[in-house]
Amino acid sequence: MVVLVFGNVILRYGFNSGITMSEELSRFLFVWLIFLGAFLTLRERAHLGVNGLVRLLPYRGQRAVRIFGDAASLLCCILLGLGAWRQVLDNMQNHSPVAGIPMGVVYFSCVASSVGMAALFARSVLQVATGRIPDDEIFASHGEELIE
Amino acid sequence: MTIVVFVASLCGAMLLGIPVAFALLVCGIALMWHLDMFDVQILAENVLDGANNYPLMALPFFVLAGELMNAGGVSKRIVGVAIALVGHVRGGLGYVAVLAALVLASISGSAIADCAALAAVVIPLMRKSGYPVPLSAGLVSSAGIVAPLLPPSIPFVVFGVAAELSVTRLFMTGIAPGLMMAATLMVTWFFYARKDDRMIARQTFDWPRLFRALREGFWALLLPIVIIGGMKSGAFTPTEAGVVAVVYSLVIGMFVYGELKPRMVPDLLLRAAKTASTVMFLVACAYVSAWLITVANIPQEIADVVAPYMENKILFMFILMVVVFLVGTALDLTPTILILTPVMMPLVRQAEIDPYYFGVMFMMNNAIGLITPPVGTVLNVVSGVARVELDQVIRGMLPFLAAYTALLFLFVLFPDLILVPASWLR
Amino acid sequence: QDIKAKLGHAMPQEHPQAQALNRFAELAGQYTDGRVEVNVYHGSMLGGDDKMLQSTQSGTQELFYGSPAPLAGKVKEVQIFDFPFLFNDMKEVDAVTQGPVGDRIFEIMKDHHLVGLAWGETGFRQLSNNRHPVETAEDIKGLKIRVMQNQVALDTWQALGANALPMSYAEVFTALETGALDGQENPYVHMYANKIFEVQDYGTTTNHVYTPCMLLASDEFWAKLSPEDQAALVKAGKESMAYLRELMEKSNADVVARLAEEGMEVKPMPEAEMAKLREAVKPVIEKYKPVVGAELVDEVMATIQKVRAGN
Ligand code: NA
Ligand code: NA
Repeated sequence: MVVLVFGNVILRYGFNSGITMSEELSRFLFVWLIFLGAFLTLRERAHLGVNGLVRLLPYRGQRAVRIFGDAASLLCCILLGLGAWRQVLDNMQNHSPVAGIPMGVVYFSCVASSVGMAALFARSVLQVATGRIPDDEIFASHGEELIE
Repeated sequence: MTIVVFVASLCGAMLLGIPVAFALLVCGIALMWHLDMFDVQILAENVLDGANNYPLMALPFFVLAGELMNAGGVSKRIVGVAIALVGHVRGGLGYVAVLAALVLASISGSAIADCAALAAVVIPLMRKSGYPVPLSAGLVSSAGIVAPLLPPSIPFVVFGVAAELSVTRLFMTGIAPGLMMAATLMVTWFFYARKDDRMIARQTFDWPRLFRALREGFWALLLPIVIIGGMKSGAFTPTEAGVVAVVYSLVIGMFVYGELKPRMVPDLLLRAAKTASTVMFLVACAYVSAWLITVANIPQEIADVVAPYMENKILFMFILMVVVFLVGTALDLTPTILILTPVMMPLVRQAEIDPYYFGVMFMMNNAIGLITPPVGTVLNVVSGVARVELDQVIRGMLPFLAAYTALLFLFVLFPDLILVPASWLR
Repeated sequence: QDIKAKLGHAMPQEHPQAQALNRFAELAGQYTDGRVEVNVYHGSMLGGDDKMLQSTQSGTQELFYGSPAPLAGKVKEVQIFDFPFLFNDMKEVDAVTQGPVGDRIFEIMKDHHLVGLAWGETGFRQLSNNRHPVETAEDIKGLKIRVMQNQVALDTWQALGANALPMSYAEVFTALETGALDGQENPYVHMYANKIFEVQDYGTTTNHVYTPCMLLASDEFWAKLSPEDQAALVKAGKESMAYLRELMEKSNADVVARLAEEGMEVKPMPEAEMAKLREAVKPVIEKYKPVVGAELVDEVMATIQKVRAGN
């Protein structure tokens, strides 16, 4: 991903010196960046959300709510992944206007990310259900850990 | 009925602790179910459309530039100058934040990019100085949304095109209310700083320090000039300005100030990429619900209800603003503009309200929508970039939201506050 | 039972295209006795052209009106309409789109889940810029011009000596305003509806490309309709496109005057200079002839020659 971003900076900078396909290429790299990043962020459970209210619940309640929420998110990822897979199949022959990259390759980022995120949510449901995650970490705030 | 499904599913999912991005997908699925058009491709197409979005690309660069400025000591020196200027005032960093927001607003056209840069640079300093973090994050969120009112402004372009109005005139009309918004924030901040001893002044003003700060901050202060100059002369677009800011702060941090070490760069890149992609994934997911709201004609339903109240201009304007405010809580700026403009402009013309006055009010209200939950992208950006919990940002933003709402109400009662300065600038 | 259909397109409500599509929705309801209800979404409310075409192909959007350009990656044949200086007037355009070639392209669309109802138009494209009046072929050289995001357009403008930048339309207005771009090219009616005159001082009538549009249906939606309703929609489509032609002719007649009123100076490119431009882009046409399909290109050229011989 570092390479993606850095490559992007260079490509964008190249735009001014006349590499006309850089807008398209960098946009595609961004699409990949967004979906890869969404997966990595979920791995650290650092997606933005409102946890204040659920944390007021007793731990058993929190456990049930988290399982429900993760299951719902798991369903979202499966549906999103399925839809994205259809888009990939539809667009493997659809080449981008300037660089000639198949759009299916760009859209595959969403499939890969959805599958990865679905796996993370499934694992999370199992871990919370079997009690492998301690009570006080069910709705832990991950934002604060990153503060130095 | 559709609007109930929308609000209930979105709010319900968020209150259950589902991350906002996934809550938007849950809401999209609920709406598809309700509208009897369930199709997984609606999810995928709109998410991909939201992700494959050129104007959004400015965002990661401003995040990265912010990280680099921080690590390389650039922002430290910019703020050093500001502190030497107003640091002797109680709550000075708050005024620094608003002034910086004004400068950024006149550099870029996107509130989101501005907020990202501000949050990365100013909030850590406020935190280090012992300022209350929620209030600081709230101030920065509220200051960043001045950007759409001051030229250049991408939202004004979108609105001008949709409403068939002169974009240049919209720009000119937006300047005065934009400055008044900033003044409102400073006044509100003043009342908080006066009471709170954590924001006590820790220095007195002295000329040699200001001179030293200016000399140290020379290269850092040159950055806004490079960016403004570059954009005014047409050398680069806002997205490219972001890249220039990245390269500039990299070079300055590494070779001039020497605080940025090459081994720090990969980590900074990774952090910036993660932060930016979280926010962009959220925007992409918001495209699903925005599309379904459009398809379900929710704005039209709202407009039908207010149609009979057109006789009294002030009352009608008030109703319109309430509607925009309500829609703005749930929708982002650009979708709100695109959806409400075709519905509202005919009503505005029918009621003989000045379209430029309405346009600026509409934009200010939409900008406020960026900081109103449940869907407030700027809140999410500030929360993500400054690593402050979302609930805390929301809590800290409330007094400034109240001040903005009061200002908006004042503009409803006295349209001349906007129209008279606009006539000077024309 | 009633079938609802979403019709999306990119132009604002005041563009003639929007009025014609409103007429289509009206006629569709009328001719199907209310069995098909068409809702029109103006101004890219359902997404940009790329997104809307994709949605129509996958069936989440029932109807689309716009240029087939975003399909060029899948359907090479539509790139024929990117060829510079192909058509001289509407008569030649009609001979191609309303004739066997038009039918053949609709036939190809079927492989991509799209059903063609009728051909429409956005008109001939013209050049605008804010650097200097363009009165000779030489004047184009060095101008930073936004071109459509396709290879033919890019090569065409490079062949003419411009500094061609393919850019998504969303950024164009700001780029023109800040001076990141000197110019752009679009039909005059489009420039007027999208307020391009606010950021451009000089217009040059070049008629360099004619962009046709299509009224397309998703095949999934189409399969749900009875044959009578299908015929009714085609009829409504053809009639509303005829109405669009009327509106466009009216708009084209006074758009130059209206642009002038807004302070944009519009001049035609002299014929001698046009000949130079045609000469300069010949290699581009040769290059893309095999890409699009030599047979189709020859057929189009022959159709046009026949019209020219008839005059
Ligand atoms: Na601005
Ligand atoms: Na909001």
